[in-house]
Amino acid sequence: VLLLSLASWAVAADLARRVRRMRIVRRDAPPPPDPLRTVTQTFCMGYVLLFVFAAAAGAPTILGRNEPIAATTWTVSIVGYTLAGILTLSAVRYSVTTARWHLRSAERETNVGGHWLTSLTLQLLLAAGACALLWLAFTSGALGVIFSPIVRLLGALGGGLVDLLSGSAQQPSRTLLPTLTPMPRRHGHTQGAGGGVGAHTHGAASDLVLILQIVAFLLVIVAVIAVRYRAQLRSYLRTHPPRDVVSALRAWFLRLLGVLRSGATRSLDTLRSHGHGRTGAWDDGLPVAWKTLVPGMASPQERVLHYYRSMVARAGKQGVRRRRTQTPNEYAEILAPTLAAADEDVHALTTAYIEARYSRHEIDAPRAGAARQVWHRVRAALRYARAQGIGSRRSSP
Amino acid sequence: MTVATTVQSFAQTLIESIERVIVGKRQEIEYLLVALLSRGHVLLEDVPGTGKTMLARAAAASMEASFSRLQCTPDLLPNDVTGLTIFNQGTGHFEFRPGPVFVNILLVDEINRATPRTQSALLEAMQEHQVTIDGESHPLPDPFLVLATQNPIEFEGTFPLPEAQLDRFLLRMSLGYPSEASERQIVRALHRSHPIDDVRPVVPIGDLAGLYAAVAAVFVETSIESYALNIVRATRKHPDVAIGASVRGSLALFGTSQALAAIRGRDYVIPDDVKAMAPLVLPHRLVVQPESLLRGRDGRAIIADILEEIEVEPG
Repeated sequence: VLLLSLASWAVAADLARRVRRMRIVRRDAPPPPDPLRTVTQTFCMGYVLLFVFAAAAGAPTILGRNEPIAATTWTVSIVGYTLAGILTLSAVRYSVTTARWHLRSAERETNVGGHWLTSLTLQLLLAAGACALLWLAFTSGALGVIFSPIVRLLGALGGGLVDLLSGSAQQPSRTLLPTLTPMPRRHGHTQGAGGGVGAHTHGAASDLVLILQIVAFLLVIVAVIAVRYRAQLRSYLRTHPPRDVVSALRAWFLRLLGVLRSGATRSLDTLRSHGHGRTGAWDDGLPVAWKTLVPGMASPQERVLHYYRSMVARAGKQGVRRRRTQTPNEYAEILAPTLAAADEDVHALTTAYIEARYSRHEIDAPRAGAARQVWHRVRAALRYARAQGIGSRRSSP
Repeated sequence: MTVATTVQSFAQTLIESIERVIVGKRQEIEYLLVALLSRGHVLLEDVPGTGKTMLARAAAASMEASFSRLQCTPDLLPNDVTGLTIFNQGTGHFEFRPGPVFVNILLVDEINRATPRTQSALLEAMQEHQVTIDGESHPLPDPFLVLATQNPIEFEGTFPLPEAQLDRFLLRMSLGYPSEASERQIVRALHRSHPIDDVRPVVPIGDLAGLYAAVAAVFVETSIESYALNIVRATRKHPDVAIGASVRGSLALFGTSQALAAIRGRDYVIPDDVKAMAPLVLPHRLVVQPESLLRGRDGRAIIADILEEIEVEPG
């Protein structure tokens, strides 16, 4: 659940960037919802609500039993329920806002493509979170206590179904009575004290059934979304054959491994150099790409260099590669014409890079911030160019 | 106003003034100022009638600098260049009569028509910024810029400058023919009156002394240093080159890159500065293998090759 939460947040962040890009590419576009803000707000709101509910439901049980082990599981349960609940709320809220925005976009023809795929990914992840929540609700019955008899009945049905399919239907379902102890994963023996009514045997079959339940639920969600987005999916597959998608994923994964490896190596080198008593900041050896993830860690100068190198790397992937014998200005002369919407930005970022790289001038935070804005516009233009098939696979002369 | 801006402002004013006479050659004028700010001399290789003399005259007139022209012939003697000491019967003393070299801007026309002895006397003055006659040293005015020309077509009756002496020239460049639009503009302008007559001093020549320090203070980052040095060192390993650029070549590349950066309003050098100056500073310092020359490979082609091989940002 935690991984799903993080993944959905990451996708939401990416979606937010895409939405910002649309504002740039189409200046007359209606203001789209900010997915990152939506998801974050929902997270915060849902967290507080669910924590209060779960704590209210679980505290008497824990206090009454006075069991330290149960307290741990109670905490874990609360976190699990919380995140799953938040995901569900996020999914609902974001779906509503996105749907509204899509309607507006369709009306004004401002949907420039690319957005729907990330939106789909996010909704898949959120749906997975919702599945996790339902699963927790069905198997533990805690939400039945918290919310209403209807949910309690659903929990009972869910638990009863699990028990039935796992061959233990004759035993009383643990979901019929409230408990906050999560379903144990021990095969072949019975949980003792503290388990309450939920203490019963589960075989491997029950795990399998649970997994099948989740998969089936996911498939239903996927099918619904695929039907909803079938037109876009078809056009995407026309321009991006599945083989390309797979190879892109593989390349992305290998690149991630490479970044991790080089980062780890440089970090170790830094630690080693500190071990030898060399002076310097502890983060000197860290890759700038890593530092830029943490606000304030990378210096403004490093950030400007990073933005320019990101531009070169991204443009290189799209075919406008920079030869090592080319100066930054020469490269800008090649790249700018391929990005008509951002030709001035390419030159501006190049100028900022040149100053940061070759001068002794102090680059302050506002200037790095300005370079960041420029980089975002260039990146948006690069994405737009890629979507339009401009400058693809073209190396600089 | 920063020092770089001061240099830029100076150069801009001067360029605009010279451009009233020399049309469509902004870059070449900029390079001339590079030589001026680097205390170097320029060898112009061009056919007659492309504006070499006008360039020198316009530069001199714009700075209120003294100017003279020296037409080289085989019978030109060293004394005709540097000056000589003559006996004054009235005072009973030997007096020094300065030659045409004692000016701020000297145009040496067809330098390869002078004998090696005269060339040598001139080149010594260029290097030392002084002439020694009868054991007495006479300093040349500051600034002292020599614009020497040679015709790349005619070889009969000429004494080609030896490589060691070519090394004394900071830049070797050519003006070339103007574009059609520029030539049209020149024809129209000269039809009425010659624009050189209207050129007035726009910058005091005394300001140059302060600008030398500003140019020398232009920052050269380590990777740029490496880039420039790698270019120079590559000339020494190139298969088409018998003798590569000297250390003077490295110094010239650094100095001119700094000057160009300052003229363009920067207080730091960028790779484009080095890349722009290398084809002007280095080719004439190379001794190309005879067989490569026969294949039509000259210094410029070799430097162009090297610039296509040396990485701007290694690693």
